[in-house]
Amino acid sequence: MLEVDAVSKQFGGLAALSNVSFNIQKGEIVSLIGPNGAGKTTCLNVITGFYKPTAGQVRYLGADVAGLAPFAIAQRGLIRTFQKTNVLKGLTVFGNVLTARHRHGETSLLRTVFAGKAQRIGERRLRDEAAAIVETVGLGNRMNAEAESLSCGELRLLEVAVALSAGPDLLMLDEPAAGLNTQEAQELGGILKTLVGTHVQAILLVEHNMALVMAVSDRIVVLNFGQKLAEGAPAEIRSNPDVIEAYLGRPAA
Amino acid sequence: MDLFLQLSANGLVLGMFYALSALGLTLVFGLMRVVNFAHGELYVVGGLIGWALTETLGLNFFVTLAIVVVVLGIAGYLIDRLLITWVRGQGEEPTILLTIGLSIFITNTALLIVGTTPQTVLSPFKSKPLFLGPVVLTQSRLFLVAICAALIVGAYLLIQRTGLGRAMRATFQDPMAAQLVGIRTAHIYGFTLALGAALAGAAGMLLGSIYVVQATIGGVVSLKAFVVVILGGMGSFPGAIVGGLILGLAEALWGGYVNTGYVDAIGFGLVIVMLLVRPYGLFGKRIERA
Amino acid sequence: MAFERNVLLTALVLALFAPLVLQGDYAMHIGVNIMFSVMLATSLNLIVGYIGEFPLGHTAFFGIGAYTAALLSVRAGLSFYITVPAAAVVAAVSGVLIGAVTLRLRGPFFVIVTLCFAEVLRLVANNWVDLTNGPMGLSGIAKPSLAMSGDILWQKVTFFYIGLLLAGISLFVSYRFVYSNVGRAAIAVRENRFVAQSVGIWPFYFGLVTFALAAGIGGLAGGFYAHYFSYVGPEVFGFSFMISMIIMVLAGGKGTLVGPVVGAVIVVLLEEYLRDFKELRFSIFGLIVVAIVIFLPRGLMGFITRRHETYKGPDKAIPADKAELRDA
Repeated sequence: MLEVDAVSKQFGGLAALSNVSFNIQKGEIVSLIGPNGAGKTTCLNVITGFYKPTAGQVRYLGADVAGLAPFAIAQRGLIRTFQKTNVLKGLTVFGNVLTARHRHGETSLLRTVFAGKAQRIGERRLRDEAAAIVETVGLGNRMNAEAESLSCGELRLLEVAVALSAGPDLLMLDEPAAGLNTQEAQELGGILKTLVGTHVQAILLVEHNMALVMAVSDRIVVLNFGQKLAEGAPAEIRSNPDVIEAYLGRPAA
Repeated sequence: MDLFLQLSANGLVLGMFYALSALGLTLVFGLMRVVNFAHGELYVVGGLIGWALTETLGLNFFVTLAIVVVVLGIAGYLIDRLLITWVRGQGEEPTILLTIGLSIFITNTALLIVGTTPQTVLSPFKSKPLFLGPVVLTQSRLFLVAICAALIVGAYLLIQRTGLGRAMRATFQDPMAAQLVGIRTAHIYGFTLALGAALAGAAGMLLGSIYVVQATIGGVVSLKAFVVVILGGMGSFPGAIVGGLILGLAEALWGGYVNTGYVDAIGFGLVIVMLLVRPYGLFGKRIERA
Repeated sequence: MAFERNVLLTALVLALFAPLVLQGDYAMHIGVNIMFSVMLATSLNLIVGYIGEFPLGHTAFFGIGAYTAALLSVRAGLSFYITVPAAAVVAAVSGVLIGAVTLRLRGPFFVIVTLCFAEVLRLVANNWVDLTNGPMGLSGIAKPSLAMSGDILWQKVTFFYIGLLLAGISLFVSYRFVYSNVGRAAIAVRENRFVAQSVGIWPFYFGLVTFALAAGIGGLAGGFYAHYFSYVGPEVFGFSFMISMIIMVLAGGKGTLVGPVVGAVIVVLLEEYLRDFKELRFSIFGLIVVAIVIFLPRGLMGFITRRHETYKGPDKAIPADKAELRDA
C-alpha cells in the first residue's frame, strides 16, 4: 500500500532522515520506533505532506504522493494524528467527529444552500456514522461533552475517533499512547487490533510505549539518528543488539 | 534628468519622514508582537499637542518636542498597563480589535476637542530654499530630516546599548526566562509601547510643522506606516528605514511622472505585491505562510 | 442549531408584523436601517466568526455592490430587480478574486491587505470621474416601481419588506452554510488548520467559499442601500460603515447567526439615539469596542457558540419527510 523509498529530509545542515525505506502492506500494523530525535515524526510528516522530502519517493497505492499538500494526501485515504494533541477545541466530541466525516459529505456550496431531501438524508446518515465511531473508540458516554473538558486519555481517544471518522485506508497514529496509563494503553491496543480489516486496511504506529508496540505490531521498523536501524517481527527486534544499544547504550567495557 | 533628481530628492526626504512615522509601529511589533492600530492616532495626538504648545502657548519648538515625547511615552505606558495587559495572552485578534477600538475613540475624541480644522506646528526653521546642484530643498525639510535621523539613531542606541533595551529584547525572546532573571516584564511591555508611542508622537509633531496636523488623518498615517512596515518587514528596524525610503521614492516618482490622484494607491499596490511575493518583507524574519 | 433557528424565525415573525405596531415613516426608516445592517453584520460575521480573520476592508464588498447597482441603474437604466441581484453576484465574484489574494495571509497582514483593497477602491471611486462621478457620486438611483406609488410611508414600508426579504435570504443562506458539511469545514479550518488538513479539508478553498458568500451578502446590502438612499458616493468604501459593522458583530457575538441580528438592532438604535452627536457617538463606539474586547469577547450571544453539535440518538427508519422534525 505504502512505499517509503530512500527518503531523506534535510533541515539546513541537519539530516533528520537519511535514506529511509520501508513499506506497509494491507492488513498490517507496522510500528515505527526509535529513541527521541530519531526522526519518526519527521518521517510521518514527510509521508503525509507536511514536509517535502529532500530526496526519495513516497508512493501510495502506486502513485507518487511526496510533495502533495497534506489535505490532498488525506483525501486519498492517508489519515494521521499528531504528537501534540490536536483536536477542534471549541467543539463537542460529537462535533469533532462529525466534522471529520467531511470527505463523505456534501462539499458544494450551491447544493448546500438549495439542499433538498437527498441532502438531508445524507446529513442524517453522516451524523449516525459519526456517532457510531464515537462509540467504537469508547467515548460514547462523552458524546456531547465539550472537547476542552476531556481528560488526557479521552483526548487521545478523540483524536483516534477523528482520524477514523475521515475514513482512512491507512491510519497513521503519532504516539497515541502518550499520557495513557497501562490500562488505557492496553484498551487502545485492543481497539487498534479490531480496526484493521473492519474500519481501516492498515495502521502505521509511531510509538514509545514498548508494551503497546510489542502487543499489536505485525512488523516493527526502528529508526536511529534518521536512519533505518532494523526491521522485522517484534520478537526479532526485541532481541536485536543494535536496537538495544540504541535505546540503552552499551555496557561499560 | 533634473526632474528625476528633484523627485528622487523629494522622495528620499519624504521617505525619512515615513521611516520615523513607522518606526514606533515596527518596534512595538518586533518587541511585543502587538500590532498597534492606534499608531496613527498617537501621531495625531503628538501633532496636536505640538500645535497647542507652540502656537497657542508659544513654547519653544525643542522644549515642546521633549514634552510631546514624554507625554506620549506616558500615554503609551498607560495604554499597555491598563488596556493591553488584559488581552495579552489571548493571541493576535484581541489586541488588533482593542487597538482598533482605541483608535476610533482617540480620533473622535480629538475631533470633539479641536474640530476638523487643519493646523500646523510652529517651526523655528525657515522655508528658505537650498540649492544642491539641480535639486531644490527647503531648509526646514533638511533640518527635519536631520532631527528624524537623530531620533532614529537614538532609538537604535536605546534598544541595542542600554540596559532597558536589553531587557526589552530579552522579554521578547522569552518572557518566562526574562522574568526568571529578574526582569519585570509587565513594566517592560509598558516601556516598549511607551517608546513606540513617543516615536509616533514625535513624528506627528515634527511632520506637523511642514504638513498639517488634523484630527482626522490618523487612519491615513496608520495605513502608510503599515505599508512601510510590511515592505520593510514587521519588526525590523532597518526595514522601517528602507521601507520608508522606498515608499517615499515610489510616491514621489509616481506622483511626478504619472498621476497625482492615485499617489496613495502606489503604496497599496506595493503592499499587495509584497504580501504575495514575500510576506515577511525585505528584512523580516517571520514567515506567515498560508 | 435548533436554538438559533427558532430565535431567527421568531425574529422574522416579529418583523413581519412590526409595521402594524410601529407607525410612522421614521420608525420604518429605522426598520430599513436595521434590515440593511443585519445583512452587513451577517456578512462580516461570516468572515470574522467562521474564517477567524478580521477584514478591516470589508466595506469593499458593500461598496462594490452599491456602485454596481448604482451604475447599472443610472448608466444603463436597469431595474431594481436586476441591479440588486447583480450587485450580489459582482460582489461575490470580487470576493473570489480578492480572497484568492488575501486569504494567503493571516492575522494583521490579512487585516492590512483587506484595508488596502478597500482604500484602492475608494481612490478609484474618487478619481475615475467618468465612471463614478468622483466625489460627487451617483445620484438619482431609481427606486423600485413597487415603492413609487403611494406616499412616503408606503414607500418606506415597501422598502422595509424588501429589506426584510433580503435580510431573510441572507440569514437563510448563512444558516444553511453554517450547519452543513461545508460550514463545518470552514469552522474546522478556523479552529485548527492541522486537524482540518489531516481529514482532507482544503483550507484555502473553504476559506474562499466563505469569503465569497460573505462578499455576496455584503454586495446585496450595498445594492439595497443604493436604491433606498438613491445616492452612492466614495464614502461607501469608508471607515464609518466599518466601525458600525465591527460593533454589530462584536457586541452581538461573533461566530453565531443570531449575534449579528442582535448587534444590528442595538447599533442602529444606539446610532439613532446619538444621531446629533456624531463624533461623540463614534467616541463611545470606540470605548465600547475596547470594553467588549476586554470584558465580553464573545458578545451578548456568545454563549451560543458553546452549544455546539449534539447528538440525540439515531432515527430508526423514519420516513425521509419526517426526518427533519427530529433534528438534534
